[in-house]
Amino acid sequence: MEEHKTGIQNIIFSSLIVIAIVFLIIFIIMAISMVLIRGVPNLWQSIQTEEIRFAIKLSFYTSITSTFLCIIFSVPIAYGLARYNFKGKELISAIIDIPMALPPIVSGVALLLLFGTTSFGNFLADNGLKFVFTIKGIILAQFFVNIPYILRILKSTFKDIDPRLEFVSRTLGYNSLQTFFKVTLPLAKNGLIAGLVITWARALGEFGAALMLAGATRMRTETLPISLFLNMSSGDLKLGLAAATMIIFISLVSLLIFEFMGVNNFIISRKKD
Amino acid sequence: MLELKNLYKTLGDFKLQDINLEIKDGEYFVILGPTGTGKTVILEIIAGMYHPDQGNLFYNSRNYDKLLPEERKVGFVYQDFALFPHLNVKKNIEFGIHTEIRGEIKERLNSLIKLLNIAHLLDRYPSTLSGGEQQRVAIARALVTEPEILLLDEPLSSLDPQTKENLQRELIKIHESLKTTTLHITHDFKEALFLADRIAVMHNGRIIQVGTPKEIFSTPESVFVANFVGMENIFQGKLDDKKVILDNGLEIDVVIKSRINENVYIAIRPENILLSKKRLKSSARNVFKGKLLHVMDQGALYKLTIDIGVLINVFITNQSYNEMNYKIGDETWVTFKASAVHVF
Repeated sequence: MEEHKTGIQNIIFSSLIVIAIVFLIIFIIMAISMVLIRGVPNLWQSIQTEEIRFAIKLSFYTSITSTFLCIIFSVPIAYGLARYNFKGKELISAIIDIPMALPPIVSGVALLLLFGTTSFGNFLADNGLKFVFTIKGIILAQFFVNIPYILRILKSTFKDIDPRLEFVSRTLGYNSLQTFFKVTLPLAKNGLIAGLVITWARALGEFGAALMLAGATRMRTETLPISLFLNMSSGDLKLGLAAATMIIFISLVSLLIFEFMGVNNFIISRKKD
Repeated sequence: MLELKNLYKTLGDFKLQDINLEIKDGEYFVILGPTGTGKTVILEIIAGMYHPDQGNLFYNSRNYDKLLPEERKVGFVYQDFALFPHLNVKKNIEFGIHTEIRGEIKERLNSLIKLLNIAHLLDRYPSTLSGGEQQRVAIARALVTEPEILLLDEPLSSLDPQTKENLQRELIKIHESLKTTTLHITHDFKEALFLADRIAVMHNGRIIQVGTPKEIFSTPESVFVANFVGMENIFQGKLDDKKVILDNGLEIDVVIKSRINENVYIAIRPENILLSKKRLKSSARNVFKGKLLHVMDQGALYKLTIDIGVLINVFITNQSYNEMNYKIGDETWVTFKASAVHVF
């Protein structure tokens, strides 16, 4: 009897796993296809409109610029944190992670207060760096929200590179900078590409922080997600869903590239607000 | 000459203490010691990866410690070879050449490729090479810059026995043809014996004996070294004229000027002891009757343990063992010369 009972429990347990998987898969596919079914047929027509074209251009411009900035900052920081031990390293890592833990909309409020209400913000604005309700603000918001993610990816990429390879390069007559470009960077290529793609995709979908800092002004600070938000609010479902469809496509492609690059041990949560 | 003077370094669990070494130009020097005694740290200090906590490092009276790794002329070969995975063999070897490859440099490169027999591997990537092949590439990469010192960190320990033997011979060949001062680290005594001009034995972060392979092999200065070089029979006793009286009263004849009443160790190599069923007529002064306690088949040799008041290990060949037809508990005679007993 005992044996029989164990057998039944095994079957129940296996079934639970299968049911949970099937349920989740169906749920995800159904939700996404709801958007695609309505978005795809109107996609071509929507792309013809000036508003969507503006949103596409602005999204690409801001996301590419902010990704570039993220790379410029994250490569040296990630390398330093991965390679060197120094006092306060834990604290620095924790501070760098903060924007990742915050909901983007809160980050946006923080940035808005910093650049909109302080003399520091005013000083920057007077000198051509106006972030509040501007395209520069979108870029800054994307940068602020995404930098912890790319740092995580690159830190783990650099950690995976055997420091003795760099050391051998030193003994072969190259200084640390030359070694970085001749050995470390080529070996970090996959991680860099993966980081780049995921950061770019996240920047393209960034909404909350950009909304707070740059606002949602039609044809001025209207990126694809802002366009989705504006058009859904005003009841223009066609344009809204076209924007959503494009974001879905871009996200799926970048997810594929990310998986293909063999970097899948990172947290790549896309927190939506 | 490379000189290490009073080096101290603590690094995690490793502790180097009072390291003093002089490695002559063109010498093949081996540091021998069990795993985890900080041998690699010595190499990394010489190469400039770490600074010593104390002490100095000179190469031909130039203060090496003031130089950056890229300014010192050392070649480094790691245990797992550390080849650049993103470069093929050719690019790996050429990595240390900063100028255009032509003329003398090209000749040197080609002769190294020939010497190490890697011409057929040049287009391949490190991940497709066997351990022995990777090792030869790593050595070529280190030698191409004509280093003042070649540092080899356990270069043979991850290879299979056959490859290891071949590479040992190649290391000798390379050293004979290039005469590069070489510092080689290993935990394998036989490897050290085969390769070294001189050996330093390390234990617990200290160098406890330096000497030629023969000196280390036959006249170890401590129980640790005696054990490490396979002395097997090591006993404590008191020196009394030309005898050592062991703790249990057994008297062993030795050849040494008297240092009366001194506490000493004696060590007898198991291959220097004769076994016989009857008392041998021999000039050897140490003859003891004993009982065979146990036998261990070690392949080419048998290790027999005999109780003569102390337990003594003896090696005999397969053939002699079969001819003598021993059984456990048999009475047997143990004979060795006074000169076969090393006192320290």
